[in-house]
Amino acid sequence: MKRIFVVSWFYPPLNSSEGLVTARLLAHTKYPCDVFTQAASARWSYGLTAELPTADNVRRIEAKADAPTAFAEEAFRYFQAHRDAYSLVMTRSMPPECHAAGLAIKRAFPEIPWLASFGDPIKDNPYRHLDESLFSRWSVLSLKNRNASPRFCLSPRRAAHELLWLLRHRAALRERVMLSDLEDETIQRADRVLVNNRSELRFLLPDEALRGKAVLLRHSYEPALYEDLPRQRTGGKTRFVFTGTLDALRSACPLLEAIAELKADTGDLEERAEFLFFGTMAERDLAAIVRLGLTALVRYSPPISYADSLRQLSAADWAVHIDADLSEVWHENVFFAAKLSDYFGAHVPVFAIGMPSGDVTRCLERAGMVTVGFSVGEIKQALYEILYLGRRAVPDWDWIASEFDVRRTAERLDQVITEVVPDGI
Amino acid sequence: MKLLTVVVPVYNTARYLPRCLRSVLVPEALERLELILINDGSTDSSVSILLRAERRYPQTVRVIDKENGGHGSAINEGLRAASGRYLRVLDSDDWFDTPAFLRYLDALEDCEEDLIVTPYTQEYAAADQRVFVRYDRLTDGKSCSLGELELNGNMPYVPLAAATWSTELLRRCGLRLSEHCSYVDMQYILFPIPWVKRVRFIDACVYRYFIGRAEQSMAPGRFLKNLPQHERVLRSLVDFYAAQRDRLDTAARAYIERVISLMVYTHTDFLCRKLPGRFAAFRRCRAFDAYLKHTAPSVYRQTDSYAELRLGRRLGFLHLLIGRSALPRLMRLIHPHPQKDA
Repeated sequence: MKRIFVVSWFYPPLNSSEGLVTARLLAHTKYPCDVFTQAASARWSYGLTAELPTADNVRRIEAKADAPTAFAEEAFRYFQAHRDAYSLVMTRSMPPECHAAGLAIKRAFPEIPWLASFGDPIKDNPYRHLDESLFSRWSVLSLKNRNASPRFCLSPRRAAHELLWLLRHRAALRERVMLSDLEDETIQRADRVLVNNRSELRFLLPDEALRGKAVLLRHSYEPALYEDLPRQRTGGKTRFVFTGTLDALRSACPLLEAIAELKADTGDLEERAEFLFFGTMAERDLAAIVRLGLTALVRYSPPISYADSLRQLSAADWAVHIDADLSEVWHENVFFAAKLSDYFGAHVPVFAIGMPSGDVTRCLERAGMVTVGFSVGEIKQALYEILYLGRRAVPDWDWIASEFDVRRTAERLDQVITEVVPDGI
Repeated sequence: MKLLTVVVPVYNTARYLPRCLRSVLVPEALERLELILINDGSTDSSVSILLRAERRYPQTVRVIDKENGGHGSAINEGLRAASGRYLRVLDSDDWFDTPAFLRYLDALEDCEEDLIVTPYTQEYAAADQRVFVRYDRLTDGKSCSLGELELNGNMPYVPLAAATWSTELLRRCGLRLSEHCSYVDMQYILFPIPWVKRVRFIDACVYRYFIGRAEQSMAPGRFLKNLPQHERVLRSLVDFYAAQRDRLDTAARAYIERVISLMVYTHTDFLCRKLPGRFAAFRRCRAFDAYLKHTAPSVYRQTDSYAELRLGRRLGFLHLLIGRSALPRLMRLIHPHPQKDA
């Protein structure tokens, strides 16, 4: 029996939600897989602290390279040397260079079916559009300026600014053009494009003709991981837990300000609630905890191991989810954080702060979770209702299981594999 | 008799309604509160949410289902049905800050004034945007007349989000808002002013005014589309002012003139800058200006303090036929920031 060749920069023991999602999914597919990954670089991850039960059908092949481009080249060379062992290629981004390996394989061996799985969009990633070092605010091509007036577009001042910016950011620009071409060609040449939410699908594949290639495979949780964990606490303070990454854009500031206002209004918030943050947090957020006088209410801990994060979630009353406000560049949230699947797996109600539109908000609302926007007043009101008026989420666990249980997702993946390799692996 | 009637006009806001209702229907408030939910012909699932609330809180909630007639018709209906001592309007996409609302209810028990003013917040959908309207010049719990407020500086602008009226006063003044029309909140806050004797400020930031929905009447695209409605409401206010002018005391007159002037400036500015077609903008500006000069000369004089408007008038609005951005640019050179002279 041949195997599936999976190229994924992130994979356990590297602690990253991207790799954990991949590992959980592959462990449940009925096909044997070789995962080409690396552990030389812990960049963009929480270190080598993610241990998952081993899966019989998955074999791990470790690359020596510690840079994405070299990693992609090494993956291609490996595949070339073992071509006959594989009947399907699957590449997982991020980083996008994983698809470069898939593309090189497809160019060399056009007959081999290829599944390209996109964690996030690459080319026009709205998150990166807010980063001035990647996208000039003077560019007419920027999503931020998509509704700009002709006067702005034709203005010599704008053109001069853009020219200066282009000169200053030549290297980054070359890389961006390369990645943009990579995404376009990947979508064109891959046999199936795997996305994790419907908003991403609309964003990534605006061309109706290509949408037939798209397959929705949601980030999913592994129920077995939660079986031995202590279940939810009873009594004591209401515990809100956040695990993951926060930065300047995905900021906890609105939440912290809401907590501070509620504390000032009620006086006894410290006896009722505690907020625990595990992972990374922007300087601004850390400063806000001190500035707003929340040190007794809000605790921050640096990244912990994956197993510990699940333990913390299982002991929480509410899991906190925070998205970035990207309304300046795109009308809906195109991201679906993989850690939400961990939240669902832990069977903890989710308190989500995010954009009002997007598949993630729709899913959270459908799942019966509490969703609020970025307005401090709205967050404060929702917290008040939870802590003082006894408001509860009404999670629809059956629906959540049908959408996010890894066994269901793996069944969908198996079905896709059967479609693209009709003769069987 | 209940202490407060809250009227909630509802039109296709199922998504926001639960947030609005949860913020008001709290155990400590139920005894003192009458909540009148007016379904203004919604076509989404709003009605079922309203009926559920009525079933759950029959002593407090009353649902009135009517054909679509606009924001004004819903408030008219609410006023007709209201039995509370005080009345305030809560739009269904907004909400009350519950802790502040409870403090406000406690303070309201001792009130006998005609108009109660509370601070409010404009809550934006996007992060890092928020506007507090605090009324720093007013003293918490102090009762005063409009005249006293004018003496202490100008009586501050009190929008729908800040106003609680004595129900009896609203009935006495025969308040009736235009139907099938947006911007009637301006009628709601100005029509009762001539009857107001005493005003009290309660320092509880109750109202959370949510901004950021594309369907909102103040969203730029909608405002242009609804400009005829804006003019209709503005004309009704000018006519009202002209009819009441002789019976208004100085303070009420000054306040009403100020608010109408602001609205005139907004309206003319929008006509000048945004209305498609130079000739149409020119024609409508001139027609409205002539009407204002004839009907309410004192308001006309007051709006002359807006430098751009004044200069436009001196030019007979002919600049609109040449290039409508020339004058605002020139004005920005002369007055880089303020729009108003005074």
